[in-house]
Amino acid sequence: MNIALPAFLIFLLVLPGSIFRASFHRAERTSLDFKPFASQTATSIIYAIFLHLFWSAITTAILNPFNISVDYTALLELLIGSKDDHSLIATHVAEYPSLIAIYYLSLSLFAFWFGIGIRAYVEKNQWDRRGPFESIFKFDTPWFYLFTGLTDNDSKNFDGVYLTAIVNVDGGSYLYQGALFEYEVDQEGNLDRVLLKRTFRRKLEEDNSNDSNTKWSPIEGDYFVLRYSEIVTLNIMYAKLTQ
Amino acid sequence: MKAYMSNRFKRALLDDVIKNEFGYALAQAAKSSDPKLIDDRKTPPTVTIDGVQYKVTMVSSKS
Repeated sequence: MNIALPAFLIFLLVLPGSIFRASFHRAERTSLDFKPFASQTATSIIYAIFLHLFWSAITTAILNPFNISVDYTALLELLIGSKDDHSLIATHVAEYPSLIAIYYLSLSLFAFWFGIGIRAYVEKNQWDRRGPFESIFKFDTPWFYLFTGLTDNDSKNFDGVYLTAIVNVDGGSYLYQGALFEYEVDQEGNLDRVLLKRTFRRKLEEDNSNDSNTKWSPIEGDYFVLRYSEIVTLNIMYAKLTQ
Repeated sequence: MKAYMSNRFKRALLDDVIKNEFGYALAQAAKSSDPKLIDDRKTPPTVTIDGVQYKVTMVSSKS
């Protein structure tokens, strides 16, 4: 069986970068990233280069006492596609199969957790919302920022999100309001539906600032699902509980 | 995806014993956030969570 060895090697080399990118970039889409393939690949290659440089330096430092190091020459020859591929595999790859497997497994695990850690650090320091790095680190997740109250560059200073929505039902307009519990987005990242708890509704025409709350009718049930496509307008408030 | 909420807010939402109390408190707080309703703003609704009484208000994310 003849396989495209350089292509397979490139895939293996870029894989840690792809893992890092997937764990670092926050996504609201239910499917995989829709960015152009070339853009994803280029980002993954850049990440992979830095990850490999860092990890191979650590590996070399650890294995140096045993006179074992990463053989960059052999790697480059394999990538170029030398006629002596098989002999190179026999002499360099097959000699330390377990070490090479450990290198890739440990690097993949490191890339995954490093991505999560970097994301947490970026969000904690608000680099995705302010400062010179905002354009680099800001995630393409508008609903996440909106439902976490982070659209105005400020930290969370509330306890929960409260929604009021106008929905047309049978020719009449109704106001629905409730505490936001969960939300779902579609494959393009658009809001698909919201799950409310402690939901009330009233007719829009009865909404008068001078009325008491008694006209609000509670909706019994554990969750009230509101499809975004049926919502005319959506008002977002942030509830705070203070002693 | 889970929406952001504090632990006490989540406990209040999931507690069936205070579900009506909390629901009405939130609804009243939402209405009281209207600046025209001065009287309501003076007396924010309250809810008791784990024996502790909390005032329920609507705030700007900036505050």
